[in-house]
Amino acid sequence: MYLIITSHSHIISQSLHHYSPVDVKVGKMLIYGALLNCIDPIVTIAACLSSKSPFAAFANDAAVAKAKQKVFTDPDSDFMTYCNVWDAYSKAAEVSTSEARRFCNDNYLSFVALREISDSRRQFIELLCGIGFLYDVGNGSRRIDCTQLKKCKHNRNAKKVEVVNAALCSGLYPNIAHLEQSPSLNISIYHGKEQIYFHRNSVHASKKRFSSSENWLVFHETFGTATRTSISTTAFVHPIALILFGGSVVVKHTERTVTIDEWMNITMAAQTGCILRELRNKMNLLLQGMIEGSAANDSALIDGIVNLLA
Amino acid sequence: MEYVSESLILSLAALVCHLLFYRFLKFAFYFSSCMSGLKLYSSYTAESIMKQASEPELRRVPLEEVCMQILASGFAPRSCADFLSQAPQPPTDDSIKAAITVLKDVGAIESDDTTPLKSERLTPLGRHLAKL
Repeated sequence: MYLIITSHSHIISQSLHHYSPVDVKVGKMLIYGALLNCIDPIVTIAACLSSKSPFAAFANDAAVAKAKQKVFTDPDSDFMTYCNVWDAYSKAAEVSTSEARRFCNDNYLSFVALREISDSRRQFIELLCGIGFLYDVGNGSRRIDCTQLKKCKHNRNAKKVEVVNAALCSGLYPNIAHLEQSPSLNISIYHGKEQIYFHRNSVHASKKRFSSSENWLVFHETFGTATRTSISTTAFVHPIALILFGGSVVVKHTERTVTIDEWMNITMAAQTGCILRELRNKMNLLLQGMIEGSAANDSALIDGIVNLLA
Repeated sequence: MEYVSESLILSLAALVCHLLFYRFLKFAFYFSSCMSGLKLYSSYTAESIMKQASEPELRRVPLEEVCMQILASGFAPRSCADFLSQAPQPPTDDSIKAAITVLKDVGAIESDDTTPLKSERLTPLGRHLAKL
């Protein structure tokens, strides 16, 4: 690895592979996605978040485009919507490029954006293989192809939405908001002390009622106007994921709450909080072990965490 | 795109293009062009406001990746700020601090606040991230 700062303070960094460095947050999401064995949706989402949106804007027939694009919408998570788009596109792309192009035209999707997403996906998978987070024991090879990704063991939790959301939360943290619903069904969302709103693009914006377990939101984008800040691309996340992958955790024994980063209060028994904190340290040790190459992927620990979440 | 280090976001902003670029365009008209918008300027503005050359990259991009590479390669025994201040045109303290804050939020680095000389260290997660 080289890092060159020229006399004009331009940065030239030359790594062993020819890709530009991955954004730290995206990188974290990918690493936890691989650890939690839900790599396929996470790679797709990471690729979508770091490139243009596949939902192209059509000025002429906006209504038709919107209706067509709505087919892919996931009822609970904007992130899974991206996965649905990708899955449909990749099926078309397997046939031929012209088929993929027709699919995009028919469904009012951006072909250019999806090509870009496809490239990022390949890049992320190669990088993860390179640092030893993805490997296929069955084949005995250290490389995993894009096509095998769905079937490999690192993708066995892909159907568990809570696990995928936990990996997302690790990457998007501190983009967390707390949703409260009063008995009269008024919804208020807070990020720290600031009140925020759903952007109309988010799938949750049109919902009137949320279940009692849907309290914590992870979001990707914020839009600001002079009077209000709104969030788009959202999904609900399990409070345990916040403790495991979030910021500094303080367990308050007498009040029976766990406080994360001084504003997220989660009610739970102090013992549970302490055990979760211990799990967090164990995860750190696991990552440490992977650097030294001594410990192989500790599947018992990971499976335990997955069971907790889903 | 311009990076606002206080709020940690990339935002679109009107930038006055630098003089080298302006000279390049001067043959045709007195105008400066920024991405897509065009605006006419007087020669007075050109000489008084426009900078000689473009801002160095270190001063206008987010520094997270750079800081992480510095720590990963062991160039900076104590802190990134020390190392970066040796650059010919060092980045502002604010942007370094912003980068360090982001890295801490992500959990890629941890710092020892107990000793008077603050030292920054990569966590295990940070070391994996630096390899990406």
